Amino acid sequence: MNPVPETPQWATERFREYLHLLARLEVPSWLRGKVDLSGVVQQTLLEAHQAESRLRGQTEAQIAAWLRKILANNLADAIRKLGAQVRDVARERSLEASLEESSCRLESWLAGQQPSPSQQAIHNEQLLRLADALSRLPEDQRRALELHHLQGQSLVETATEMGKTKGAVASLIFRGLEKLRRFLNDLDGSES
Amino acid sequence: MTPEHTTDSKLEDRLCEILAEFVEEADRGGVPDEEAYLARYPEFADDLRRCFANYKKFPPPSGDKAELALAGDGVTGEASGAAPPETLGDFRIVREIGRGGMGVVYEAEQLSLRRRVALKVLPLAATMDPRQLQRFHNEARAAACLHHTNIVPVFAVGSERGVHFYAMQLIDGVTLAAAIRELRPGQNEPGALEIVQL
Repeated sequence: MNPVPETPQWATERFREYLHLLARLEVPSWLRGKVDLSGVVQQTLLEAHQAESRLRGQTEAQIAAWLRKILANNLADAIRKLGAQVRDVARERSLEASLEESSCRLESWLAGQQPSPSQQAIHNEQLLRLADALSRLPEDQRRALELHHLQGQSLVETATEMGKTKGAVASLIFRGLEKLRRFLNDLDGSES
Repeated sequence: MTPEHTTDSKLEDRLCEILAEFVEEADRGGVPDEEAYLARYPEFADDLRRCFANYKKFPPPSGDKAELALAGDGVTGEASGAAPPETLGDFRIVREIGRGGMGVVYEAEQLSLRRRVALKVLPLAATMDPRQLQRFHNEARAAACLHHTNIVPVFAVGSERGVHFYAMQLIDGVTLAAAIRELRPGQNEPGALEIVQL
């Protein structure tokens, strides 16, 4: 058995934040502390790495779809392991479809909503960058954006969940958006 | 919330309230009139303009929340406009044919043999239930044992990354629902679609 390298340079490494974001969006907040999301993502990337030969020649979108499938599977495992208390969370609703939906919502933020096939690669690149940028936001800003802007909760619901006033959450949302825009601008600027 | 009472933080609080008002208006499905906000709060015009621009650049999933929730409703929901999984092992998915309680059926191409097949995929949620998984395999095995003109032959059964599926001969034809509709105009049998496909 080959030892797993400590700091792996996997081809799918660039999907890490993307998968992490999707996993965060999927797991209800009351389960947050109980599911090791980083571990689930790590496991997903490891499995993808082990089957890397199969990824050759696949488009980024296909790889992303494949990773979402593995993630859904691993996430389901992790939730199931928690036992009877969360039986109803291991729910009717297909995790994979839900992950896909989150990914679509994320994609809707990218310029050029219907990319042509030739733009698809760039589009996916942007998607991963967006996930990276989100991960770099301060925790509370990121959380506010994830709840309100990605999970589609109302301001009031978000405020209740975060234990803050509506004004405080609105402030987090707008500061987060401003930072997000700057991150993405910086990235775009450094490329051209 | 905040204990400070400097002028700055009061201004900041005021801006937060205005932004909250804006977000709540958008949450209710409305399209807030940005100019009206700017006119009402000219002292914050610059901040507001910047905030509104960012909000438009990264919009939340506005008004269509119910629709999104439905689209994500897994087994019974529609495919939410997203592409189906592209490949499953030896099979390349071409399109979705139909879905029901026990799975989704795709038209697919078996790559090694270059033939078109119908691929029935057990929904992920169902794989979480060992009994459902067992049922799915029993069903595949039972059908594979049978050989009859009126029973679709099973070609292969497998699982790929935790997704369970089996491949059947692809039959071109109308659905039972369509057939029934044709035979009994006015009668729409809702359960029939599943019978023929799953």
